[in-house]
Order: sequence, then C-alpha cells, then structure tokens
Amino acid sequence: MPGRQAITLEVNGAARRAEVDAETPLLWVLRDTFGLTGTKYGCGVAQCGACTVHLDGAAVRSCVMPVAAASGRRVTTIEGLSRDGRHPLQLAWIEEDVPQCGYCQAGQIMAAAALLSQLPHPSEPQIAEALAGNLCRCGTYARIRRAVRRAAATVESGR
Amino acid sequence: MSGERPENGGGRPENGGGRLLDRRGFLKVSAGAAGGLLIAFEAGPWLGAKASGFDGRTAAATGAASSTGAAGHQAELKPNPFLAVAADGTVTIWAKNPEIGQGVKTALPMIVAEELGVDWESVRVVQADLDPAFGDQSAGGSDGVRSNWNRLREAGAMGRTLLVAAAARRWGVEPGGCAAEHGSVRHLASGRRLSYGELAAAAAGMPVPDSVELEEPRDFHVVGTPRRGVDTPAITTGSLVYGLDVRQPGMLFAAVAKPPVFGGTLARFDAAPALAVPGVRQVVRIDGLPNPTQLLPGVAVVADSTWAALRGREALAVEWTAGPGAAESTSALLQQCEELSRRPGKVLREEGDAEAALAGAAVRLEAVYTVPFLAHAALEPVNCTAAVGDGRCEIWGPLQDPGGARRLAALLTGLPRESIAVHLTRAGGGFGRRLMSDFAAEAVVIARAAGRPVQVVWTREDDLRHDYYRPAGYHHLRAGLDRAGRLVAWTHHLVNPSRYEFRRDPAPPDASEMYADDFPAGFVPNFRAEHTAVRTQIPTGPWRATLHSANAFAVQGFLDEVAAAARRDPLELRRELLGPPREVPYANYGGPRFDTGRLRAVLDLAAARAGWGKPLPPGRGRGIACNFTFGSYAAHVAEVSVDERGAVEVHRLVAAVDCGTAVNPAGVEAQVAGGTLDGLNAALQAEITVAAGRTEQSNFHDYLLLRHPEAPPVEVAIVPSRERPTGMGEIAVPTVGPAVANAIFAANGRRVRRLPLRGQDLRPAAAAAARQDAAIGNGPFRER
Repeated sequence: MPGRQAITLEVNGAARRAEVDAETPLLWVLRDTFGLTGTKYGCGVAQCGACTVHLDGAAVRSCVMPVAAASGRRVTTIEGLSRDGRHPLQLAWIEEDVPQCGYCQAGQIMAAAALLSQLPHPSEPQIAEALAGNLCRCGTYARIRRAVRRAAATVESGR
Repeated sequence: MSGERPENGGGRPENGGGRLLDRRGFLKVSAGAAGGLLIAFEAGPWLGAKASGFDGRTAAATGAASSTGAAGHQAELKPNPFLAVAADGTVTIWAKNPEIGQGVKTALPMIVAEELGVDWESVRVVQADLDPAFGDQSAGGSDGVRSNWNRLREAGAMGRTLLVAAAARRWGVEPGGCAAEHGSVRHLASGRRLSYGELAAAAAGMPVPDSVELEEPRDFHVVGTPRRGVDTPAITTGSLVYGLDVRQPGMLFAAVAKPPVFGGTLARFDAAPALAVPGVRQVVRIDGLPNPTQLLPGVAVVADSTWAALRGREALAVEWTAGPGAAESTSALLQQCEELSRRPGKVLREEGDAEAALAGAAVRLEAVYTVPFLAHAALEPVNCTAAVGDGRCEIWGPLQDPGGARRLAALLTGLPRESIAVHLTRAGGGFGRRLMSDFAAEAVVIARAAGRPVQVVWTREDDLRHDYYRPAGYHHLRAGLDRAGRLVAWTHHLVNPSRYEFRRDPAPPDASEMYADDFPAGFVPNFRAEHTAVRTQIPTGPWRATLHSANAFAVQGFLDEVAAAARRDPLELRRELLGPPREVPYANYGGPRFDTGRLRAVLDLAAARAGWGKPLPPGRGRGIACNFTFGSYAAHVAEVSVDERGAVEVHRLVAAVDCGTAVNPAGVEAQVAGGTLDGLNAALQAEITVAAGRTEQSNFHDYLLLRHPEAPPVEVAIVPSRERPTGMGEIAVPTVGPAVANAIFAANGRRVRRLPLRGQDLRPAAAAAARQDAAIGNGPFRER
C-alpha cells in the first residue's frame, strides 16, 4: 500500500497542497480534498469525459490521472475556466440552453475549451470528433455543437 | 421520468394529489405578528425552519414563514406552499418535484408564474424539500406537469386574487375593475398601479377566496413560451450541487460490496485488510431487506475520502453465498420464454374469436420479436448522503421518489416520518433508476453505524451490475388478413419477467409489462393479448417509457409486416385502422381515453415533415411508427440506409408529438430530441446480458451509449394545442426502434425482429426471400 505523500500543484491559479496516496486520481483530490465538485465522476475509466479538466492547458481525464502526475503542473477546472462564468463557451451554453440533467456539461465545456484553444474555428465533424469522448446520456449533442460554434463565432467577432 | 404512478417505491404517494381548493386545510391561514399571511407548519425539527412546511393543522411560529431570508420583519404574502411575494417585490416559487433532467424545475414554476401574473424573469425558483404540503413529489410516470397543472394554476391564481383584492380595497374600487399584469395591479379606469411588493403585506391580510378565476389560455404569457432551464447558468460554472456534490461537516464516504450473483447473500467477511488501508475508518455489515428493491445485503467500507473507500472495498475479503441465481443467464431465460410462449398465458383482453379468424384468414403472419434487458446508466452514478442521530435522520440525494426514501428510512431507523428530512438535489439523470431508494436505505444504515454524515458512492460498475433493468421480453405475434387485405385477427403473447413481481407488488405481474388497451386493441375484430411472467433473479424495474419501450417495437414492427403482406403503405394502413377521429376508452395508465384523431395527426405531421412517399435513392428507406402513452401521442419517421455489408446509417429522425399544452416548448423539444436519441441507442446497441447470474457489462466500453459523431440530427414537431398538458419526458422513446427497423425493411428488405441491431446480419435480403418473409412472417405457422 503506497503511503501518503505531499503533492503540490496549481489549481485554478492558486498553489494547492494535498497529503494523499500518490496513486489517488486527480479527480478525487479535486472533489474530496479541495472541494471542487464541479468536476464530475461518471465512469472512473476515461470512457465518459465527465471528469475532463485542463492540465497545462490540455484536456485530460482526471479520473485516471494519478495526482502525482499533476505534481508541479497547472490544473484548470470548470470553476476556474473563467473568473466570472462568462467564458464564451459558458455564455454560449446559456444562450443555447444546452443542459438537460447537466451532469456531463462541465466535462463537455472543458473539452470544448481545449479544442477551441487549439482550433479556433472547428467544423461540425471536428467538434464531434473532439468531443467523442464526452458522453451525454440525455442526448444534448446537437445543442452542444451549436454552442461550440456560437462560442467560436463570438470569439472571432471579438464578442 | 419513468414508471407508472404505482411505481413510487411500492407505496402510495406521500399525500393525496387533490386539487388545491378541495383541500380545506390548504386555505386555513392566519395573520402573524409580522403582518404576513401565515400558514401552518409541521412541527419537525427541520421543517419549521423551512419555507414550505405546512400541514394545515396549526398556525406556528411567524418568522419561519418567510423563505426569503427576511425572517420576521418583512411582510410577505405566502398564501400556499408554492409561492411567496416579499415586500421588496421578490417573487419566490418552489419547484416541488425532483429535477432529473426532465425540466420540471422550470416547467412547474412557470405554471405558477403564469397565473400569479408575474414576468418569468422576475421569479426566483427554489427547489422544495420533501414536504406533505406539496402533495406527491415523485418524478415518475411522466406526470409532473400533468398531475400538477390544476393545483399550480390555482396556487398562482390564489396569489393574484389576493393581490388584486388588496389593491381594490386600497383604491376603494371593485376587484373586477382591476387587472394583474407584470407583477403589479392596475386600476383599469384610472390607470393607477401598485406593485406586488407594495401590496404583499395588505394581501397577506385579505380573506382567502373560496374560489379563484383561472386565466384564459389565449392570455398565457409564460406558459407556452420557450424558457431556459433555471439551473442552466449554475451548471455552466460547475457550481450546481448534484447528489455527489453534497458536502456535510464531518462527512465520510462509503463504498459497498454487494453480492456478485443476483439473489446472493453475505456468508462472511474479514474487515482487517480494508481497515489497514489508509483513510478507512470503519467496515459496516448491511443486512438486506426481504424486498430486493429496498436494500441489498452487503459490506460497506467507510473512509475519509471516496478513493480510500474504494481502495478499502478492494482490500475487503468477503465470501458470498450465490444461491439459485448462479445458474441464470439471459440465453437460458430467452429459451424459457420461448417454451412458455407455447402455453396459454393470462388473457388480458379478448374480442371476437382470434383462432377461428386466423384459421379462416387468406393470409396469416407469425413472428417473434425480442428485446434485451437495458440499464439506466444515468451519468451521475447512484449515490446518497445521510445523517442519523439524536432522534432524527436527514437525507440529501438525487431521488426520484423522496417519499419512498423516507418510508425506507423510517422502516430502518424506527423514527417517525416527521423526524426524517429529505432534501432533493438535482439528479444527473434518472430514467427510472432512482424511483427505487435502495441507495438511500444504504446511506441511512451506514450513517447510523458511523454516527456521522456518510455519502454512499456507487461506481459505474456497481451501477451497471446492480441495476433494476428494463425487462427483456419475448413477443409472439400472429395476424390474419382477409382476401381484401384487411386485418381481421391479431394475437400478441408477451413472455417476460415482471418488475412488479420482482418488487413483490400486490398488483398482477402483467400490469407492469403489457397494457391491454394499447393499439391495435379495439381496432381489430378478432383480438387477443396475453401475458406470461417468467421467474428470474435478474433484477427488473421501471425504465424510461416503461414497457412501451419494448411493446411498441413488437407491435409497430409487426404492423409493418401486415402492411407489407397486404401490399399497403404502412402509413395508410395505420390511418385506416385508426379510422375517423374519435375518443376511445383506454383503461391503462395515461387514459381514460385516447383520441384516434390525435394519433393520426402526429403520424401525418411526422410523415409530412419527413417527406413520406417521396422517392429515395436505392438502399435508402423510411420507416414510420406511432404510439400513445402517458396521455400523449408520438410518431417517428426514420430515414436510413444500409450498405452491402449491412452497416446501417440513420440519416434523419423526425418526431411529431402531441402532449397537449406545451408548457415550456423549449423543454418539450429537448425531451423529444433527447428521448429520440435514447430510443435510438436502445435500438442500435444497448444490451445487458447475464451469465452465471452476473451482469456481463461493467462500464461504458461494453454498455454503449451514443457518442457525438453517432448522434444524427433529430427534427421535432410539436402539435399546437390548448388541451390540458399530458406526459412528456418518456413519450419519444418507444417509436424510434420500430421506425428504424421498419426503415431498414424499406431500405433493403431485411426484417428486424430483435433489438439491438448491433451484431445482426443486416445485409440486403435477396428479393425473393424478402417477398416470402413479408408474406408469411419469420417462422412456420404454429397451431395452438
């Protein structure tokens, strides 16, 4: 049984320290240790994408990433995507009224944000492909893609 | 959003669902010291501090009446549990039912706001806790809007009536000369105006009216307008609290080891290896309840984090007794169903003489349709948080039947219901799974043992392996046509496990599985519907649209076979069977009547939108299906192509629904589009299989859900209506599978009689084989 160790990482711009089993997935450290419950548990095996966060700007599945792998790195969760909840994707999500149950949406938004940072004007198939790892059990896919396109358009037009 | 009314944990609703003004207690009010209109409270330790507490018996503490945080010194109008108007103009509306993604947290308050006469933008919506004052608070049977329509209109109208009366008295005019609009009252003759906030205190002192006048539907300004989900902004920032996000001071986390074989029991366990895991605090034995839908036996590992609880559970050494379930498999069950289908079942409805008519028919068809077990797989795994101690119990969770959770908590703790508080969180999906409250029972048992708040967390594997599955089914159908191609005989024998039987419901086993008045009952002169329940340890429960999700596939698919045999257009055949628009009796859930004209209208609407009858390229086809359930009407047209290798592509799905008044058309469209994809997923790939008494699937790599690139566009048409609203959250599911299956037949002559499609040979049927298939069904005609 691996013992506890102190791990420091940057979460949403602030230095955080956790004393946990180094194998603990980042997801549970975020949720149970840091109280950041916006990142969701859905499958635990990187199949559903509900736990998507950014590690140094790239989308990762926090449910299968040992917290030790995030040591010294920069983690962004849905709570830190924007300071005021007005990231273009968040605004587009509200405008398109995307959620039904809403449980997958933080992961969808984080995956979409990583996509837009790489590819500011994705086509419909590019969006679908980039978000293929993010399940929505309610079937909001069409609205998700509309919202991503809307966000891309608002960024382009300088809002 | 699944299940008939009797689904609610096996008991009756917490409180009758009577109309507001029929409940005299509701109108019993008294003026409090704060000048507010006070209503009586239930005297529970939490309930008194809560906005909605009210049981109509006694008047109680004054300040507690205010839910707006203005306890005691702000005059407030609160004429019933559903709404409050504060002196500062704040309008609060309580959302009474659990929100599981079906949109009732928005739609139900919209109804109150409509009649209250306020702008939707000015309303603050608060999720209600479990409280008898609200009546039934379950999320099942697609009846949230349907069963609350009258009482919520009356609740809003009562507030408006009091505010108008207060304004009229202040002006010394007749109330009839005043109008309520946009949160204020206007005197029509003089144009004077007073805001609701200015009137709240005075309105609170007005005598409560004996009756209220409801708005004319043509004047609706909130109902019938598309509105955004009230929680949408909070969802986008991750701040919205789901069940798993509940945090209580000193809370611990628990994972529960459960019998791997259905019906198994706990033999012995060694807690030591689990307790050696850092962070693990305690190991708790759970004795199950006799009813397996109430609480399974198991061993809980309690820890200071979710991860430690999961690690501890892995370390736990447990021995189980498998029991008779160990021999069970879905393949053996199917075989058993086949054998039982050869013996007579319980006849649920019979007209004419089906056997004689079949014997004398010019064309006879016979086919077997089968559907698999399905898991709910709500994206938020099963979980619940509870605290037990000091003579009380508190539960926080994503529950579809909070009343059922409270009954179980009372049973397990011996506490009176008044000492058990249940708080509703938003649920990350429900689909019927959370109508059972077994996980709440687990949380209560563990929390009591821990002496601290405990959150029980199920992993995805737990969720898929210990679900209460949509029952699999074996449908034996026969039909006879006369020389003119008219349908003169129809028999349908369903053999499947009964979820009512599984949960030890006193209702007959067939009642949860087959609805005798479903179309085409009543439209074929010689008709018989029968059911046989097959015994199994495999757990079953309500799944979105209940057994309509399976039965419509069999009925609407076989009807397509009848159309092909009669060389009739499938749409025309359905139209002809339904006949002229009229109401016919429908004694099953969603009745008491169904309107043939409304079912025809959704067929016609879907067909028109989809371009029914217009030419398509070779290899492409359209299929159609219709269904009546939960008081609503739905039809789908699917357009698919099948290539030479048998790969199916769904190009278009067109849905048409009639759910009466669409309270929130945006919500209706979302439910229909989402329900359509749910139905499509079930048709294409969803399947639970059992071997050696265990579910073979464990996570989303083998229990598949549609992903972004696989989700085709869904077009939704809503029939404009001023009829009273009917069921919404489930109606779009049943017709997708048969529409797709029928489209495959139209595309390449392959008749699909088994779901899911995944793994089936769907290559084009040879032309001759297809013709024969269409004429005689898929098997030898069997004499009874």
